[in-house]
Amino acid sequence: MPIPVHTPRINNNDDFVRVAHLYVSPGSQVSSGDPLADLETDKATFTVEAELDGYVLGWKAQIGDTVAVGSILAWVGDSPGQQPPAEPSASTTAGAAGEDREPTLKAALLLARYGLTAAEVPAAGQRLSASDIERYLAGRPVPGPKPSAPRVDRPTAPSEPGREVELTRPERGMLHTVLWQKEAVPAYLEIAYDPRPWDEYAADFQQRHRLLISPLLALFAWRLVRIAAERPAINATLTGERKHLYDHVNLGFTVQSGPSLYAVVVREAEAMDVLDFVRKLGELQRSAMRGTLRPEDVSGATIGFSSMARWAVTRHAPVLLPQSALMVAHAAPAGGAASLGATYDHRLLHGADAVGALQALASPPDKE
Amino acid sequence: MDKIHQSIHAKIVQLAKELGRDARLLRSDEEIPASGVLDSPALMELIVWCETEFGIDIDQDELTLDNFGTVDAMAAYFERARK
Repeated sequence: MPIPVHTPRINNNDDFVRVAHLYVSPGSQVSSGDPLADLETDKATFTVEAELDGYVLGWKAQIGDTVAVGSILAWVGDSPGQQPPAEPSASTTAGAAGEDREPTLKAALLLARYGLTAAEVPAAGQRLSASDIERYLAGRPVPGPKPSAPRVDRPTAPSEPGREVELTRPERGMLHTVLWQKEAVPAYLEIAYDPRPWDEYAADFQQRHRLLISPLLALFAWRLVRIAAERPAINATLTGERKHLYDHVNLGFTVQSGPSLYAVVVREAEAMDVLDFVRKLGELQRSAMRGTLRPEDVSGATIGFSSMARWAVTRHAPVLLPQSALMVAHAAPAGGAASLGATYDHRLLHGADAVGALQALASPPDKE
Repeated sequence: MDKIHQSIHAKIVQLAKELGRDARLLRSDEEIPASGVLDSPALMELIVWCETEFGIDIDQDELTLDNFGTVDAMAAYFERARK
C-alpha cells in the first residue's frame, strides 16, 4: 500500500518550504534512512529521509517548487509499479472518511509538528482535537519530529530573483573540497626561496629524458612525495582525537581544464621512481583535459600540491584537499625571488611542521 | 606547407593567442617549448587536440621533444601513425 511522505516543518515560522534537491527519481528503490529530498527555507535546510524500505512512486513537487508544510511530497510503495493515489486514500483518513475538520489551536500545532494534514486524521467530534492526533499517532508509525537537527550549512536563499542551475560534477567536487575547510582548521604560511636551482634542475631533467612538457611542477610534486614519505605527520588526517597516518602517499595535484578545476591523484606515489611519477601525472593531466578522469583519479589524496604560476599569481593560499593535512602552494617568481606556501590543518600540524616541509621542498634533490 | 602542418600551426597560433602571445612567426622547424609561445598546459592541450584531430591515442612515453618538439616533427609523427 503506498505510504505518503509528508513535507515536514523546518522552522516554527515557515509554513512553506522550497524543494532544493531530489535525490531519487520515480521508480527508484530506497531503504529506510536514505535521503529523498532536500527542503529549505531562508534559515535552514533539511533532508527528508525514507521512513521505510520501498520504491518512490512519484513526486508531488519538483526542484524549485514551494510546498506547504504537511502536504504530501511523495509516495513510497512496495513495488515500483504501484500507482500513487491522486489524493490521500480513504484508509489514511480513516474514521471521518477524509473530512477536513477544522483543528483546534493545539491540534494545529501538533499537525505541523508531525507534518500531518487535518484531512488525514479522523476527528471524534466537530473539530479535530489534540487527542484525535495523539490517538492517530499511537496507532501507526508516522513521520515524527526528526531526531537530527536541521542542517544549517547551506547559505540562505538569495533575496533577489534569479535562476538556479545544478552544479556540474567538477563543481560538486570543488564544493566538497572547499567544505572540508569547515571541518579542518586551516592555517597558512610561506617561505621565500630561490627558484633558479629548481629551474635548472627541471631543464636538465627535461633534456636528459627528452620530455616535451616541462617537468618542473611534476618534479616539485615528486619532491613533496618523498618528503611526505619521510615525515608521516604531514601525510595524515585527524579522526576524532586520533591521528590517521596514511600507509601511502597519494599526491593530489590541481589541474585547470577549461572552466573545470580538478585535483588529480597519483596513488601510492612513494613506490614510483621519478620518471614513472612524472609520466603518471602527465597522463592524469591529459585525462582531465579529455574529460576522461575516473572517480579513483580524483579521490583519496593524502597530501596536495597546487600551482598558480601559469597565471602569474605570486602568492595564493590553497584550500586543503579532503582528509589531508597539507597543501603546498607554488607561485610565479617576482623580481627573481619566489615564495612557497602551505595551507595546513592546524588541528594536526603546527607551523614548524609546515615550514620544515617547505624548507625541504625549496631545494631540488641532489640526485634523481 | 601541407594540411597537417597548417592545422597544427593554426592551433598553436590560437592557443598562443589565448595566452596573449603571438605565434604566427613560429617556424615549422623551431622547437616549440624553447620558443616560449606555449606554456606546459597549452602544450598539453595541443597534444590532446592533435589526438582528437588526427584520431590517434598518444602514449605518454611518446611525448618527447623528438616526436613533438616542432611542427615538422609533429606532422611527421602523425604521417607515420596514419600509415
